[in-house]
Amino acid sequence: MEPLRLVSQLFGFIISHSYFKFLDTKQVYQGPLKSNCVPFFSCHACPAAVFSCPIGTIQHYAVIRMTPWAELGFLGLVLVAVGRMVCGWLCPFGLFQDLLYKIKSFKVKIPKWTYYFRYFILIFMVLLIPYLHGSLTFCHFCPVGTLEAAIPWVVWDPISREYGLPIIDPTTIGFQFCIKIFIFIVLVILMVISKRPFCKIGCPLSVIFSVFNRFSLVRMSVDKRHLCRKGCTLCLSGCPMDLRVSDDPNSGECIRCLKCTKCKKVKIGIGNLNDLVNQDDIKTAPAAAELQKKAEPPAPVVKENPVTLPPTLEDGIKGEGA
Amino acid sequence: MKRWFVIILIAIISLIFIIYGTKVGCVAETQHNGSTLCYACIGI
Repeated sequence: MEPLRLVSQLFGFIISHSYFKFLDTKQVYQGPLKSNCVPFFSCHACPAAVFSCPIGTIQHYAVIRMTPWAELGFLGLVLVAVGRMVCGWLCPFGLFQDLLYKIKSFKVKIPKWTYYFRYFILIFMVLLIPYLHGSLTFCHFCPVGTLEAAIPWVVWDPISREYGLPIIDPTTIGFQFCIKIFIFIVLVILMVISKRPFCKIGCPLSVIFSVFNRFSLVRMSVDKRHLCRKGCTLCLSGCPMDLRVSDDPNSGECIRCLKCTKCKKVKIGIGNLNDLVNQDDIKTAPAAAELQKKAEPPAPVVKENPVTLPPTLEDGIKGEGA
Repeated sequence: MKRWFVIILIAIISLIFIIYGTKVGCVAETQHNGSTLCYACIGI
């Protein structure tokens, strides 16, 4: 499954960064495709970008105080079909994080309370401040923009064909740029030592996407007819989001990378998947697992001294009748 | 059944949004159709 996912992630990268004419024009693509966004993080200021960034678009529309109807509709259609599968299978920044995590180093687990920072970013930096203040606040700090736009443009800095001057005036590179680079470096270090830190802490898009995981067409399920073996961490060990899929197969945090499907009990499919699991099993699954952990070996059955039950009312009536 | 209802409802609403958005000209991104670069993304 992993090679297939890598191919899919590379496909996501190529499809969103395939404007190679920038080498000649020394400009970003400004054609009709730029009017559409991709359903994952991809900076539209990247020299090779073909499509728009969904978060950049939402901010842009917050600034001009309008609603991006077409974009919301497109995202709705994609997400209702596959949920956060796009995060695991298409997002190029996800691929970047996955690759960095392969570097050998000590590894740490990101605490769950930090996940709430994404909500702050979405509400304040993507929606509220751009709406009230009129500035693209999140873009000023976005690490995806740093990787795909800031670094390439500043390093390359071609001479404009129209004006004969460098496109990025070196005197404009200052404090703001340094902050952007600093955030990026901190994130890169985090990416080496922990799994997908940006998806967990900083991605405002994941907040929107996580809502759809609950009822999307594509669903995960765990066969609960047989409880997990005590101490088994097969599904947890490879999970980039540090989730135990048996606790909540369709958790909002799950990016559906399908690494957990190496356990034969975990399945992905379309529809209700009632043949594998019912909702009651899902609800009682954590409790059942807990019970299994605490379970002691069953007491031996003593056959020599059978317990005689006290006579019931029914027995009494039968006796009186006789 | 309830889930299928939600899925179909969201799909229909999304299609309406796309049709309406295309009709009124609310395209996803206008910034790069008018200017050369997004300087916020570059951080300058």
